[in-house]
Amino acid sequence: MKDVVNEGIQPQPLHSVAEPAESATTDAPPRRVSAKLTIGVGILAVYIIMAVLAPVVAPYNPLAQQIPDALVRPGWSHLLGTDELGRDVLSRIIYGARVDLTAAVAAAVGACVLGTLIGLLAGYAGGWFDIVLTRIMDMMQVIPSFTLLLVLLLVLGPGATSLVIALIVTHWVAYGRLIRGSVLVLRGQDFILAARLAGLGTPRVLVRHVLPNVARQVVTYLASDVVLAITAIASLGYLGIGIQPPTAEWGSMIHDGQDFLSSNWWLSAAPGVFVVVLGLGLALVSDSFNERRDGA
Amino acid sequence: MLQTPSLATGRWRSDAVPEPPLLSVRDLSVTLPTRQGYMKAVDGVSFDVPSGSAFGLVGESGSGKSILLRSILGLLPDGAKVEGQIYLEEQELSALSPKRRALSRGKGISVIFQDPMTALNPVRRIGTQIAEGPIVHSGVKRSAAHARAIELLTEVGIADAAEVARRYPHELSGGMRQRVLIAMALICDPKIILCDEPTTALDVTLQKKVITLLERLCLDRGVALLFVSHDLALVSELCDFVTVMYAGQLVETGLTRQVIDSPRHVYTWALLRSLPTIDGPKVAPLSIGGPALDRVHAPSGCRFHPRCPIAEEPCTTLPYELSEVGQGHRSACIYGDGTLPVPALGDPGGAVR
Amino acid sequence: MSTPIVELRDLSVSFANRGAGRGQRGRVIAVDGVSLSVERGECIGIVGESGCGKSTLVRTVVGLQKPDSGEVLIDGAPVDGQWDRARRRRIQLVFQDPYSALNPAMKVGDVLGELLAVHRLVPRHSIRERSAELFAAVGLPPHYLDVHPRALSGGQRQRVSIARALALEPEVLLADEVVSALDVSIQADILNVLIRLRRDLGLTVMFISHDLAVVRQLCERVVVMHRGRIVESGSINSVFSDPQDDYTRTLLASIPRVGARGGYT
Repeated sequence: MKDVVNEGIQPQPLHSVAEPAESATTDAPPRRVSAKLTIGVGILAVYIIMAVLAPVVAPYNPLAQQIPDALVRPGWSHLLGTDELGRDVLSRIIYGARVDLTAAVAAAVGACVLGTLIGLLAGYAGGWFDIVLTRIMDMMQVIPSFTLLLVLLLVLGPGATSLVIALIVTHWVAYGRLIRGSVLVLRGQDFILAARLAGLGTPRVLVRHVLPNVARQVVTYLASDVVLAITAIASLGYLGIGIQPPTAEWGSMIHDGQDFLSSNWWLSAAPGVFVVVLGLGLALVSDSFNERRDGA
Repeated sequence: MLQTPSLATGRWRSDAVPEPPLLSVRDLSVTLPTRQGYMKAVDGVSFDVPSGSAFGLVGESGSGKSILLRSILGLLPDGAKVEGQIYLEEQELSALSPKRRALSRGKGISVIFQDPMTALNPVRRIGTQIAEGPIVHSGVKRSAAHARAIELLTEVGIADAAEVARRYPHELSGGMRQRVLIAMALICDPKIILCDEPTTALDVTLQKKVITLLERLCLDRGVALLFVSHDLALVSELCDFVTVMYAGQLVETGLTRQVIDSPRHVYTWALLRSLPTIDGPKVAPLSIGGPALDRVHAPSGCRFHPRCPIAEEPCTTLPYELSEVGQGHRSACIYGDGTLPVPALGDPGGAVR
Repeated sequence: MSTPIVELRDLSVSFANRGAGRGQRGRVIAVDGVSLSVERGECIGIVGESGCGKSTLVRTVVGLQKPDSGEVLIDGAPVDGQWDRARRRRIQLVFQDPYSALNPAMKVGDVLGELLAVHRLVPRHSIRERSAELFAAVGLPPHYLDVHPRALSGGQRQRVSIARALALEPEVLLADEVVSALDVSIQADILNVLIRLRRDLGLTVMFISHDLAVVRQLCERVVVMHRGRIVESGSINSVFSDPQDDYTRTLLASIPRVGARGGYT
């Protein structure tokens, strides 16, 4: 029996394949517009506006002391009253947003960048590099972070910059581990292999192929990390070793208001509430990122 | 009760005296919510599985065959809407309470899934896992159940069954694990075993061994098989009956001989034509071209018409209807009643759009 | 007799045994003294089941794995672990798993565009046009260039993978079980793409598969691997009609045949 060999075979003409199923439909089950995300973003928006437009929004100069007007109860002229030095509480809170928010974001982003870089290198390079970096991360995790923080602040001295640096140093490890883990998983994926086999250099592979696929996880973690940073900064401020007075800062405001807890309790409570609500906003946003990632 | 073997038509005669079927599916529809909209994964499917037969269900990914299997087991995802009836020996399954349904899963129906590695509990010994069934379902004593488990392991072709029963899943090869799954499926003496692509993950020599085993069990024990696969060649080797599904609908069904020798639906023909040939002339396999199936917005009329080489105007409008084209042989194609106006199988360079 | 485009001489690859099992030491021999010559323009099938060493062989040929002994030669020149960009272009690999072969974060058109840009294969302004050409060669319409992998089916992703491999204008295409993860009816689509590309571009194809029936459609020559060794080698017709090795016979007998209903002996 003669074979119909290759010359005789007419390969079937290929049809062009139709549109991929990305089109929207009419009677779809309703897509829940995430209430979480909306509320969270709303809260954050308020804080960001507060921080950015502080000079415009704040009724008074946060540093202006009016001793005769000390400890005024909340009323029309001072919506949240004044503190023991006559400074308007509301204005101090608004300006405090600037301080706390900037410092927290700087600390979180800094830790993220440092941790991501180290995690990327450790995960992708492997070998000795990875072993050394992992050991370093292990060692850092053994030291209680708050202790390390305090020691660093002692060494670096008080102030916003040293605070941010100290926070970066104590927080980068979490990102490092997260990224390293993701990269290790990604390394086994065929498309990374394909990139290497196509002659693409390591930096390009890291930036265009590895990073975008780990970025989502990082962003989710970042949002929740800012919450931690805010709490840390406020706590340190409360303890008196963070951002120094007379700068308006929520933590130190809470501390200063302690002495008047029975009479003017709002002096501590108001900044406290603002810290909590910001934390809530960030938590809602990061939660909804988590959900979107899992659902995608 | 087995039918008289017949060399001409295989094990089942097309003129056999009908008896009540073991498993009966009537007008089954399953609707699933997806991001693009509601999708009818299974749409008005009806068929009967005779006692002791091997019944094959063939279709591509997205044809609904796996969802159909799972709906028989009652294992559908949340949000799934089921319509129609499923009867096991005259007992309607969806009428049962969830607890009784779960019990029926072990006793009347059992199942073999695709991936042997994930179907076994990695931290329990093989013997224990197999014995679990009768202990839970029939209240059999532990020692008796274990003895039964070892018997079954031998029956499925595992040498040194007692020793293997003491091992853990990771200590076994892929082929052995699949045999263990078969033993687990048999232990409660089911009337029917549902097989969801049980050999897709296996090498071809292993696949052959598993299929041989399944066939032997079917013949010796009289247990029916509902065998789901995307591989028509495989199904035609094992099964007495073949049912072809496309886009959630049943497009052709009948004895294997009938469907393979004279396919009466263009899709079946195209499937057969797309299989790589082993003997005979080397013909390029047919690509079934045309737009990809949109499961949410099904085309009007015959769902296959956008990809059908001989589709005519009526194909776009006529509603779905399964008609008898031979004894026990049914097709949903309007050309089903005669030979399809397509080139015969094995014809090199068959003209297809 | 021209130089074979790819040649393997007595290749051996082994791994340290890290696996489960009761205290086994020593090395696992994945590839055991394999020699193979692939002529320019031919299509050779490498067939075997899991554990036969074909995946390791593939990885060694593209330089992802160092052999313990033996040589890999490309166009007569020993590779010796030296892979520069030019050499990388000559031999490209298409992977088995369509779901991990494409970067989920990139549009599929950009996957090709990146390669074309980095290797400077076409001027910047022609990148999109060339990408569309490549897509057309595998049967994908141009509007797919802007789509993400998640919108594509398994068969479509494999086409993209093939297009990506073609972007570098290789001489040899290594297809590693490229249809094994696809439905039988989709397999035919991809096979036809490969048949047509071979005809149009004169590609040399090394087609790795566990499925002899599929190999028969595409290849003229086939080698059968078992436990790291080549147990049979010959033209597709002779291996099918007159297999010499027991393992080959078992493989052939295991292939499901349409309409073979009637039980086994």
